[in-house]
Amino acid sequence: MVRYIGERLFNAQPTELILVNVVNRIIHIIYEEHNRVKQQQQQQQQQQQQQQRRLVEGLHYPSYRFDDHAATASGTAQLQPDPQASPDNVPREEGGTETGGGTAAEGVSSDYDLTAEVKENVTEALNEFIDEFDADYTDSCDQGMSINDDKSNAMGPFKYIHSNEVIMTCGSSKTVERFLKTAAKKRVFSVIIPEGAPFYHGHNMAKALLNLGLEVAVIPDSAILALMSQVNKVIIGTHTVMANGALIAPNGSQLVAAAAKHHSVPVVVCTELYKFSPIFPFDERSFNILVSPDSVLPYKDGDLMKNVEVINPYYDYVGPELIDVFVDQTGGHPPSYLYRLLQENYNT
Amino acid sequence: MTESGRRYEPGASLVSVLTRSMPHLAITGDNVEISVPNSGASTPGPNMVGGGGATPRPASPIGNAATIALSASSSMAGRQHQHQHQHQQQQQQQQQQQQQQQQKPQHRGGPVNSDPSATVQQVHPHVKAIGLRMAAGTIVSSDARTIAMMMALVDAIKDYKVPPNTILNRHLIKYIGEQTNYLRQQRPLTVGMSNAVRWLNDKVSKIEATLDEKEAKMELISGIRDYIKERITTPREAIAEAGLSKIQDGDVILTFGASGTIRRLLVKANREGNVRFRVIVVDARPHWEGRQFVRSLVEAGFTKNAINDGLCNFGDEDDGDNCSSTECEPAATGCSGITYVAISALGYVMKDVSKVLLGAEAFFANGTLLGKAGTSLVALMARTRRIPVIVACSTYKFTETVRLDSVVDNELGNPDELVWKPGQLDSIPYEQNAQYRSNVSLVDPQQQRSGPEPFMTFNANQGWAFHAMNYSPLATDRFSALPHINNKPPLRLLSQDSHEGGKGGKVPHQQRQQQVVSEAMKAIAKQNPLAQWHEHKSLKVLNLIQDLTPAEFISVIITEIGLIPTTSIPVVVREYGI
Repeated sequence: MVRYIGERLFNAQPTELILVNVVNRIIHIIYEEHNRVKQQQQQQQQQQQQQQRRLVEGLHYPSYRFDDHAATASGTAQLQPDPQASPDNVPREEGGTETGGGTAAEGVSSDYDLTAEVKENVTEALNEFIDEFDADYTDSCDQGMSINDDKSNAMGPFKYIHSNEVIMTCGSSKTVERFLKTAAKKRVFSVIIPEGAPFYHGHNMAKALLNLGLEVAVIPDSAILALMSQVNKVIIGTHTVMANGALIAPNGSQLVAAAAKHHSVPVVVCTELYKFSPIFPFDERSFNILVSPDSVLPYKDGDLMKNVEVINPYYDYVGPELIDVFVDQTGGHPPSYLYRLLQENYNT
Repeated sequence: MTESGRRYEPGASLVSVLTRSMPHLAITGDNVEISVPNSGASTPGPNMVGGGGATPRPASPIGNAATIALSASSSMAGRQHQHQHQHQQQQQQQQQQQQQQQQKPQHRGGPVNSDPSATVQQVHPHVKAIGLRMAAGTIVSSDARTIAMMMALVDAIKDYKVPPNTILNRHLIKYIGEQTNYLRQQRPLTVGMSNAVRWLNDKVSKIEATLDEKEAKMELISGIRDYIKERITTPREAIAEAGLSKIQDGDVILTFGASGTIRRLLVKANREGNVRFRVIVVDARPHWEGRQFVRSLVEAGFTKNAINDGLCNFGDEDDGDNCSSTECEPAATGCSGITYVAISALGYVMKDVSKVLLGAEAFFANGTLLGKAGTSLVALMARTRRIPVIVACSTYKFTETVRLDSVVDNELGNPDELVWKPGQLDSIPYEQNAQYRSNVSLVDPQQQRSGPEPFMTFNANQGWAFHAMNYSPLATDRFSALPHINNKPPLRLLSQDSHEGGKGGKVPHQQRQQQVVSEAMKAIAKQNPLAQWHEHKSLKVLNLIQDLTPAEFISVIITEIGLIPTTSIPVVVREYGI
């Protein structure tokens, strides 16, 4: 059913990869929960069988860890993470283990019970997934500071922006806005914003960054390379992230990233987990949208328009070689780590 | 439009550079108008004084007059301007000669007079005319500016009379210096212009003492004309000829902005080269110079119905059955395709490009190219994809100085050009504009407009109304909105002035005006988020005009002496003795 909805959404707007991502995530969550519950049932069955075997064969075998647990914790609700299961399975309270254990002796899992348990888990997981969208980035950033401190991998705006830096940004991404606003609480820095003609999203970004104690400068797109030598970091947002680490970002982003590469300025991409898409872009242009040429060549020059082809792409393709780090609510990742994230979150 | 350009001072922090222009505003009677008052009689052409859009801050009394001509952008007003100008010019010539004679005592071997008012009177009216045009952005290309300057200097030298007790060699140099000072105040001189002036000064100082005044002037004038021909106009033809071999069949050529040399080259290749190629013109805010370039290419025969496969997706060309529209058929030979994009689309179009052709404003001794802002981005994107970058530049624009980065010594344009989005006014259809096209105020049709045409008027019924630019009925004169049309004055200043205009307390009439102004501001601020950028100290708008392209991005330079690499520039400078 989820697949059906996903297909309909995809046919409506093929280039909106976030829809695809979300649908795939949901499918993955469902699969995951289903598999986990099934695995637990199988484990239960195995444990029970092994228990019976050992009782039969005596106690000369070395006791495995999970054997002890099974022996001592029979009938308890909690189950330690199975070393065979994927490492990111968070142990959950399994209310249905008892029922699973109850029926394990028969060796057949009851489908009805399985469904109920899976449904419960899926709902919980989906709620967490929805929270991802609503998450106030500031909260996760502050959390990141404290949680990951011991790993010395602190994420968040304070790590990536130092005082008196000059930051260049592109587009009017809300994520980047929150990122900079959080950083502005403790750091004083300057922001250079290319205006992003013909859509002028730079203007909106500049307006959003007023009254924060930052110095904001708006420049025309043509001056990006001219001023890049003064810039310390580039922080951009994106529309989607493809499976190879490339971005489908607001137009102008490729200019900024290419200029940053030339001046060896690090490029930080602020995203959220749902923007990571499992699709590979085999063509740079396949996920771009060409919108009305009016903003480039106005309609009042109509007599020109029949003779001149005007191209006005809405997005830009930024290759993975131009990006240094992706920052999302779980921390910073290099582009080469993306395969891992995709494995964990999608059915790949 | 570029105001009297502000040099970026080294040492100032990047984001502390700011230009805030204060147009002179007048509020007269019931009509709240934003207009620029007529400054003194020394300015030619009262028609040039138009709406208050982004007047440059006057560095001298001349700057007051260097306002943006709204109506002068149309050819009709331009012609009127010329007529008036000629009248004034004759008057001024007489005045000037009288003044020169009166000021004899001051010039006796003393230092150059730095008093601005004295400078004003010494500036030749032709020089003034082109200076104002340069400031208004009517003359933009570096070649055009150099030619305009040299022709104006020809006229200045023609009318020049050596004061007694001075030597022509020395005094004329001072006189020329005054002219170029004036031009410098309107807009900083380009490298080519500086080279030309230096050449001229050199020539003047070498005039033989035996020649009398008339002969010396004739020699100078013919020398200047030869210079223009040899160094500026003929090289354009030579470059077009030399560059023909660089354009091959099926090429997709990318160019940036508007370069007259490149245009000539492309047109020539299209006409004579027996090649079919495609041109992609990349353009940038705020000046959108490429639009005029595209128009001239279209008039020269480029059309999109030629080779335009790939990006257009008209369908498979092999599958003739699907191709029902005429757009799929290749046009007749001699027609080449043309595409127009904004610079932010560079990543999208670069895939198809086979060569990049750029125009230049100057070349420095280390091979660095000085061009319009955006040139370096185009070269960078081409470089990363291993696309050859070919620059066309005549040798008079080579210099032996070196610039290290794009920020120091860059020219800053008017920041308000960036603030205002062009969509609002331009999208009003022509018919709806009809009521705004007259020069008469909306409120009182019988009121005689003797002053400058108002830029905005307030009508009790309709509220604020912007005046659209005047469209000439002649199709060939109808260009896209020139950038200064899109500039609207910051309304905050309008309200400021309404405070200052009230002498002795607020009159309810003025309160009403302020109320109206603030309402208009709110509506406008919604469309243009940065409309009130003056109010925020921490918000700057930087309108950089030029940038530097490092030498490693450039593959070859086409000059009139042939195709040279960037490393040969100092050699050329030395050999040609610029």
